[in-house]
Amino acid sequence: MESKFRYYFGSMVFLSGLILSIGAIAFAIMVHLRRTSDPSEIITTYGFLGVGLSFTLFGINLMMSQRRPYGLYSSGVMITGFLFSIIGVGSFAMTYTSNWVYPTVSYVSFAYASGICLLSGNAFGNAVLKLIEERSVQLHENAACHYTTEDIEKEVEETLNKSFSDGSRFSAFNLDIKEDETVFVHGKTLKESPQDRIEIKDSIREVESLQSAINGKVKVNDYAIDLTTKMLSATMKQQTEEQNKKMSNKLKMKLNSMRR
Amino acid sequence: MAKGLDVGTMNIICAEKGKGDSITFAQQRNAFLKMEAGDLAQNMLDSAKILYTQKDETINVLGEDAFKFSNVFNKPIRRPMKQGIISPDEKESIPMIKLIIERVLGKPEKEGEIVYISVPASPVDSKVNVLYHSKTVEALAKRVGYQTNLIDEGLAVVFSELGDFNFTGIGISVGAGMTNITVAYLATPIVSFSIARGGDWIDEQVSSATGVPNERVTAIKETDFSFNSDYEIGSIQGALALYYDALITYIIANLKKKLLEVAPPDVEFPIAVAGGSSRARGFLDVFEKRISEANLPINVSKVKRNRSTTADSKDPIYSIARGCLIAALTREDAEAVPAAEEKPQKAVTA
Ligand SMILES: Nc1ncnc2c1ncn2[C@@H]1O[C@H](COP(=O)(O)OP(=O)(O)OP(=O)(O)O)[C@@H](O)[C@H]1O
Ligand SMILES: [Mg+2]
Repeated sequence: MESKFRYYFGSMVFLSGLILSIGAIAFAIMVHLRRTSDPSEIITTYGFLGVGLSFTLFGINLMMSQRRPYGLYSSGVMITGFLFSIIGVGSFAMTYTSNWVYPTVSYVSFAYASGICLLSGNAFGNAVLKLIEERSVQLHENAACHYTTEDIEKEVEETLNKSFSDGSRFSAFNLDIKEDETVFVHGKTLKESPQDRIEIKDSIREVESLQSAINGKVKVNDYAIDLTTKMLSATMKQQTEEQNKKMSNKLKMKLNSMRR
Repeated sequence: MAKGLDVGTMNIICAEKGKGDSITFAQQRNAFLKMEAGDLAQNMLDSAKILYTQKDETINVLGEDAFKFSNVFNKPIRRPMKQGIISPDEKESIPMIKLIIERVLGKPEKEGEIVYISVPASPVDSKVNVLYHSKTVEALAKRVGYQTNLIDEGLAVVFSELGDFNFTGIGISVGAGMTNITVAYLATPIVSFSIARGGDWIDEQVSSATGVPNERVTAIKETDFSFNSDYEIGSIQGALALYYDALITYIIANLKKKLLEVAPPDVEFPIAVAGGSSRARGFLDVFEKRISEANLPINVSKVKRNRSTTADSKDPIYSIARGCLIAALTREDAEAVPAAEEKPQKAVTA
């Protein structure tokens, strides 16, 4: 709620700053402003232009949400900057006719310049901060919505379906690879005679021992060894999962680029 | 009945329980050859029991015969997989792989029959996507009607070869496109990884070093090569021995690196080696020697003499499919037990 108000207020300030500046320029054109113009005309023009500029910058600053951890400093800088620039304009208006000589000129212009610098610097800093934040959020999101194994499976299904049914895609450059039963005739042997098999004597005793090994029925009289193994295999699984994730991301990118 | 399926770069092998105390293996080469229909009379293909598919003027010869035909007609063979996986760019050969898998796997006896499929672990030296491959193979088997499970190729070797050691040890499968390694403790994998080098790598290196065509190098490697004999420097066999040794050293170096990362438990780890490339005569001797020189950070009790030394069934090429079958049967048993326990309960409540 508060940030909404701030945004609303900020945009209003921004717009009024803009109008002030434009008005000042319009006024300058209207009165044919010159070095020798009437001081009141000069004051009006530059006063409005100066105030307009600081309003514009102040508005931009307000519109930018300033969040922690720098929010407080940022607001401080913003207000100081605004005050400095307004003071600068005010003292310009007051001293221009009477006392527009060194050193007043330098004090006044210094106040105004530093105010503008603070405002624009603050806006720039916030913009950069926001950019970085958005980027890191993006990265985070990317990391979170990794392609899962199911996505890969889907991708594979799609590819397989295409490679078998959608003949037109391949036929353009590789006529023989359509696996459309009507055009892709299987030879007689492929259809009729069975696959050759060789039979070999083998009692496959491993099946039982594997069962007991997996169920942990095999005795190892060393608890520590058992534990390290379990930990190792857990970390290994994690590693390969990470690797797979990386791979699938790359795959995703590749597939996307292929589609295009 | 549960089945085990080994989908390799060179061979696709299915293992299932035979009648009585036996295992039956169905094997096909993972390859096909594209030919003009005009080159061949179709009835000739049929009578010779050649596996093929036809589309207009193109004939695709599948499996083992593709190799024979490629020699006769001097045409390059196409292999759907490279370095252990179906590459996402090779989508057009997926229908061929599918046919070969369906062929060796056969139809399930009942819907939802369990099959364990060997897949490579993530490679340490290449950025290929193992997951895509695994899911594709899995989806293909699912479409035939199986309930699929994936298992690391190295772990399949452990299951098949290290039963006498409580499934504790190091399983290594030196295949065509890859070498897969799993260090397991009580059937639990501690480290599983793969290396994108295998028999194909040796062939390529030797071929480019000697200028002999790749296919010929493969043929010589498989039929006329042994580690124990002395070959002239500059001969193909000499080059084979050199690159084989380089491969073994590379495998062991990577194993050492991985072991240093994880610090496995302080027990004895026997090593079992399987896969077609370990078929070469004298391979295990060299391997054992390199292992003992490597000074691994674990206690390697011994390199297990492979089953190939005794009988036919002990061919290291079948080891992986056998390990998958063991996993599948174990799973089937485990699922059968609770079901059997549940039934009487239900009868009581009803
Ligand atoms: N007698 C032999 N001597 C040496 N190498 C052999 C022999 N027989 C087969 N090979 C090699 O073994 C490899 C095939 O082995 P295997 O079937 O285990 O691999 P795969 O499981 O298909 O591949 P991967 O597991 O890497 O995906 C090929 O490189 C082949 O050249
Ligand atoms: Mg293999």
